[in-house]
Amino acid sequence: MRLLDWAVVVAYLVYVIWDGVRMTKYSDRAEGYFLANRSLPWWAVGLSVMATQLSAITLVGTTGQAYADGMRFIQFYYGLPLAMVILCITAVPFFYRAKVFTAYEYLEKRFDLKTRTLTSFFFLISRGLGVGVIIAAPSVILSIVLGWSEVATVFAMGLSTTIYTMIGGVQAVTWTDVKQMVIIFFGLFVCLFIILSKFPPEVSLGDALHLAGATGRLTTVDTTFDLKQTYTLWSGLIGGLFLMLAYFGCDQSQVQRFLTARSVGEGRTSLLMSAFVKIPMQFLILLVGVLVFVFYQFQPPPMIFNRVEQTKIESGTRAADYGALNAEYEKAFAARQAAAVEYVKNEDSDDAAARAAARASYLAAHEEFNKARGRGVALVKETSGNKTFTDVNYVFPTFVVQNMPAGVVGLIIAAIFAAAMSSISAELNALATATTIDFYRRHYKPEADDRHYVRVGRIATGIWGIFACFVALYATSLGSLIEVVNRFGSFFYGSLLGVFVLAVAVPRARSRGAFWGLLFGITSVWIASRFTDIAFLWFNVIGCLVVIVAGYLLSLTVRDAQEAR
Amino acid sequence: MRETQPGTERELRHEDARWHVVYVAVIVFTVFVIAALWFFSRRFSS
Repeated sequence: MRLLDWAVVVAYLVYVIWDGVRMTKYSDRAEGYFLANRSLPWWAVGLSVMATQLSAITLVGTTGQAYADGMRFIQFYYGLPLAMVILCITAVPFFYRAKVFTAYEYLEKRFDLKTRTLTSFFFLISRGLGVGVIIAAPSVILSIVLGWSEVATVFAMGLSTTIYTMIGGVQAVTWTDVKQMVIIFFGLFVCLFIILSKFPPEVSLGDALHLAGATGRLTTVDTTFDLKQTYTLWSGLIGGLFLMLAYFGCDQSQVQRFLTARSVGEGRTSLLMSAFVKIPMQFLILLVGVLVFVFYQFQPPPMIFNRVEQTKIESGTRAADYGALNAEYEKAFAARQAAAVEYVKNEDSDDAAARAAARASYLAAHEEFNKARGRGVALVKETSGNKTFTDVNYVFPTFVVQNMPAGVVGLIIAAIFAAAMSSISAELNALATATTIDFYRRHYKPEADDRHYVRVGRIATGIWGIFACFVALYATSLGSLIEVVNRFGSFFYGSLLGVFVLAVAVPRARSRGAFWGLLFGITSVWIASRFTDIAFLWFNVIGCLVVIVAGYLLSLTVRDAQEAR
Repeated sequence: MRETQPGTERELRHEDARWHVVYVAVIVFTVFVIAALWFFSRRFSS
């Protein structure tokens, strides 16, 4: 990184901390610190909802996925708009009018204390570890690509976010999220325009999309019904719907966002903002990854994007083998580059046979190139002993560092920081709220004054922030990062959703059914993940349905006793 | 009170109806976006 880039990153960090720390309005009272006195406008809450969901892993991981596999990941979000509509009708007015601080508070009113405590406990465990992964993922990538110290990156990201979240509470979280979303959007658009400007003069955007489309990278709708395939139209519409219902309706980090809105109407509008914007925004992020793929049709990409692994192998006992493979790889690249140029030239030709021949020739050269890279990756797997090695998460940062002008590199790194910090702050704030309201106030000190709970909330934020940094230091080798976080959530989300469905939509549901149903649901998801090949998005459906069925049946066994009481 | 109650109910019904229009617009927009993405995919993949 050059001096200008450093200046941009440091300026961003200083500004965000300063901006967050000064947002202390209402933060001397519990409702102000945890819910901003329910005073925030819909657009700020809406941007905060999107910023919380969009972590650095989404930004870096999905561009890498688009490079390697194309746009099929977008199907993950197809269930989101319908989920938002359902939540606007049910959860938003429901939680808002119940005047609760946490989603789990309601479960005590409907069922009993142990159901509330168990669900809140599962939230704390899953998100407490999840926020560690959110910090770890970009830290590992940035440390490898930029040569930064991993520990320093983890603490720069984790502690700076902890400081402003601790002091400003939810006000700081929301208003910094707004600015962070602006930086992310600005960074993405700048990146997009610079990639387009770096194509050879004879390659238009249309040509670039044809090249990507020929290799299957523009697949956005896959109608195959296969439970083992992660991203299809059906897994997105059904599995994604359940995941989004659970995430936005039962996860405190999102519920807390719309609870800060001025009214039920503004809370609804904030969620509907995501329903309108999320799929196009994800398309934009994936398009950046696809265009990076096209860029590397004309400029040689490294055989291995993970610089540390590349250096290790080049200086190890298999250096000669690596050198030979690299020579083959460079030859395969040159052949593919020539075929790509030929393909683009023939794209506008009236001769259908020539077009088909150029396309076939390009696809054959692309296949050979993939095989050459595959041999390089296999050698890394063999020498490192890491059978799940993948370097897709390094593609985008490597591209940025090697090809972007001074200043823009800093802007994109700041955008990656912004994406990470906006998610971390919301998670820390939600973890602190659940700890303070569901555990400290409910079990330990129910009668203290507001200032006391705010103080406890600040301490809890600090402790969770430090805990997350230490989890991040240990969570550095978890394979495909975007899936790790989503998998993590899928273990709990479906089952949590099942409990809330029992609470709201099944009048006969009783506390015993909800409590044991939740445990059955989580166990069934664990069995499904351990003993079947079912894709993780379906875990949400399984968990939710098992909780509803088991919870209902168990409730029937206790109905008489409860009614008598 | 008897005069304001039906008015409030009418307002609430009117408010609900407005929201239902918004929800339908969200669903229609989503179907349109998925269809547009599908056409985009078909256009550049063939």
